[in-house]
Amino acid sequence: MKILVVCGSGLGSSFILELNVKKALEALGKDAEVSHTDLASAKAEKADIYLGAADIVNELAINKGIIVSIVNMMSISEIKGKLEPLL
Amino acid sequence: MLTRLLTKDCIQLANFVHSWQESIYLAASPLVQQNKIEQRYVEAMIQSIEQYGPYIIITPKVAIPHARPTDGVHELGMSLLRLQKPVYFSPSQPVNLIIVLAAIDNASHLQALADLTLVLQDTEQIDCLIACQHEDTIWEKIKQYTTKESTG
Repeated sequence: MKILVVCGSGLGSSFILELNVKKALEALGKDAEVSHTDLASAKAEKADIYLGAADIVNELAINKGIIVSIVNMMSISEIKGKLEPLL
Repeated sequence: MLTRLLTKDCIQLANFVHSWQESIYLAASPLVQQNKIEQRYVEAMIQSIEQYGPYIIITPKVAIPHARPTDGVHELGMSLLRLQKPVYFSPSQPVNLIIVLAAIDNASHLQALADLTLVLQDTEQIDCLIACQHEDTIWEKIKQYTTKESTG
């Protein structure tokens, strides 16, 4: 299972979200490969789940994998709730 | 790491601004004055929001505008603006804390961001920073929130 966290530049928000995705996975007792990147690179990178702010992930083609949009990137409970049914 | 990067002279308080664009200009101004970033970096941050939407609002009330190292960053930097009255990035997204990030590469700012998550993971801590009336108090609170976790 590979989770790719995406943001506009791949520098700020996606890294913060990646940290919180890892915390959420730990809380769920699940294991997955998590990394972060910018939108342009994400379009060319394969992953099972693409995760990011709605503004960003909605720019990705839907046939690439599962797309999860996060409203509050600091909310472990939101991330847990959205990832749990997919793992 | 965070309080070494986000020094007191990079923290500002203001009552209100007229637009989210103004909030970014103001928040970034210490970094421009210190020549850590060029003016075009400020414009790149604004352009990025105009292009992708306000995804830089990582949690309610908090935005972390940033652009790319190639958009005119000379030195790794971070600055913070606390607004008494929120500025709206969209009708449903009021923001009181604007934290500008200027990265020089893909890695050197990550520890500071990890520290920042320790500050922003608790909504009470966010409200406490917003309520601060002095730059020094904000800096000390951030120091407290980031050292509490690493020693515990």
